[in-house]
Amino acid sequence: MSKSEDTESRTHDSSHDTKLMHIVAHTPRGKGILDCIQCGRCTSSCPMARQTSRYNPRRLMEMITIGLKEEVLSNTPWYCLSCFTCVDKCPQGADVGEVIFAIRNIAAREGHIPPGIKAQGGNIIDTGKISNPTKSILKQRQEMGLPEIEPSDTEELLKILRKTGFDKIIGHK
Amino acid sequence: MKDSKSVLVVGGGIAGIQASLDAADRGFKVYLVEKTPSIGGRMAQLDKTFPTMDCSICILAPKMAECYRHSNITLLTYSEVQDAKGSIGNFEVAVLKKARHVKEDKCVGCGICTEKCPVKVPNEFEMGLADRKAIYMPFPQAVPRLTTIDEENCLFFQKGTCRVCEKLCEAGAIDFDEKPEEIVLNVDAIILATGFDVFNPKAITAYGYGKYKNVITAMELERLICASGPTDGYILRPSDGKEPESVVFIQCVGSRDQRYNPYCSSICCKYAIKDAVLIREHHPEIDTYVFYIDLRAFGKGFQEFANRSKEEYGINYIRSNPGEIREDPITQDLTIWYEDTLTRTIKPLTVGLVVLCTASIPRPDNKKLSELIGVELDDLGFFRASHDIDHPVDLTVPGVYGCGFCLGPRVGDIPHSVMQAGAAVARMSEELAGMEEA
Repeated sequence: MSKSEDTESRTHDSSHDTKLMHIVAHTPRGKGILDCIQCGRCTSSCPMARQTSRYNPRRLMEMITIGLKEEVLSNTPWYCLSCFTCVDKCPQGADVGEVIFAIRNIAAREGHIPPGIKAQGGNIIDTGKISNPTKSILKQRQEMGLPEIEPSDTEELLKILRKTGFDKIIGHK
Repeated sequence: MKDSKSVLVVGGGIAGIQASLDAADRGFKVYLVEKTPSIGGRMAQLDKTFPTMDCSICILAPKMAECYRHSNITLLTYSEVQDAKGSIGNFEVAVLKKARHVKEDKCVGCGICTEKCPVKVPNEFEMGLADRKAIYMPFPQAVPRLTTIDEENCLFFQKGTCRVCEKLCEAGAIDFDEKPEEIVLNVDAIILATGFDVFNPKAITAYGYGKYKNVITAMELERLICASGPTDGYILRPSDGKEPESVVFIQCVGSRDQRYNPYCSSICCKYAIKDAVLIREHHPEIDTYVFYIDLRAFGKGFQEFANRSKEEYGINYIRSNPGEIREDPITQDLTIWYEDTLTRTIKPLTVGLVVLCTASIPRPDNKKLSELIGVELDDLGFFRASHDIDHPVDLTVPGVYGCGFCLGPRVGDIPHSVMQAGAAVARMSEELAGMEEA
């Protein structure tokens, strides 16, 4: 296959959603995607990227601009720790961490939430907490003489979560 | 025809020097005002010029000397523009000649005063990498070739003691009583050539400039690599004076950065290639790396030069903008974390010396000159051309022209500064001739 044919086939590949960048740019917190110059300072400073090759914020931005929707809406954006070092370092003010939130929102709406994240959402609805202490932690607390953990007051929280459709998005029953 | 026309040139770097020579050769009476003790500017500080690797001072020094001896040029060094009024064909400019306390007609530049002066201060010409005395000649090829007393550091001016230079000067050139003098000039036109300043990378704390000794700027490297510089051209680390095993250049430090300078400074990629090649020529054993975002090697011969630097000199190019630099407190080596964006690998690189290729920024003096003369500045602080395409060297007041980097980072290199100097003189001649006919 010649080089031009290869480019041709890639451009018309159905896996490339050329509208993706504009959809992200018009999503709240997503407009930074338009400013990215792919310099790589975000990934160079990202603490998560040093731990796993599965997460690379610059590559995520690149995939959004190319329109690799399937990859963008996979588990990848959920690796972000939201430390916002990338936002702090970005020379173009592309607010990478914010764009990651924008694509998480798109992913969530389209039903691409990793099971672990869904479980955490369920925990919030059930108990008001992202995670609850295990039996062994409760035992340790008792031994150390720490007070019992009070249940959270979830009444107001539940109102917000229902109104915003949070329970439906994460598929909580 | 009436008496010859006259022009004030502000700034004695390569652009101002060339504009003065071109105007003087056309018969203009030229006043070249330079605020430091010598003309020469940035080009005098450079070791070599890209892409031909010509010796910078070897090209510049004859031009400087010609400025000095040209019968149509009056050099006003250690002087600053204080006031300006009037319009094309009739500007009245007040220039303050600061007191240099060394008589220009008597000093022979022998240097005995400098040798015996007891005060040591950081040498601006050597970017602070060496010391100079309170009475000094800025660099060996200085024009005019005479010394200057820096009042802020001179023991006599600060404490009323010493006067060693006066006692030793056989020419009797020292004059502690000299007062600043205001000179009023009547000129037909003004050419501004104020050049550029260097961005201070301390603002970008992740790179540790000012905190880590072995993180330096490219202007500092120019002095280190220069055979007449503080290390005689050997690349030696500021922390321990030892040769590093590897050197890294980082591009776009303060350039293409919305928080500091949004524009591309236009010269950094090219001088980094040159400096990397120079390091390999001086020390073939030192590994050199250039971290770039986009290698902007535009212009005649530059891409070819970039290719040669890879193939013949083995410079390593990495497409990345590093996130942070950390210093090993014992070895004072530096570890850079980066993502190679072409291979998508994230890894650390430990090197002995890091060179930050900092942005070229407008001189703060531009603001004062714009207020005095009435010419506009652009949003960045460079002089605004009256029309960027039609009249790129005309400023927004008729009879005032600009050349060199003070017009902003168009193609801010030496050949283009020289071209713009010629263009400014041509435009000035054209407009003044037009007035005469009218």
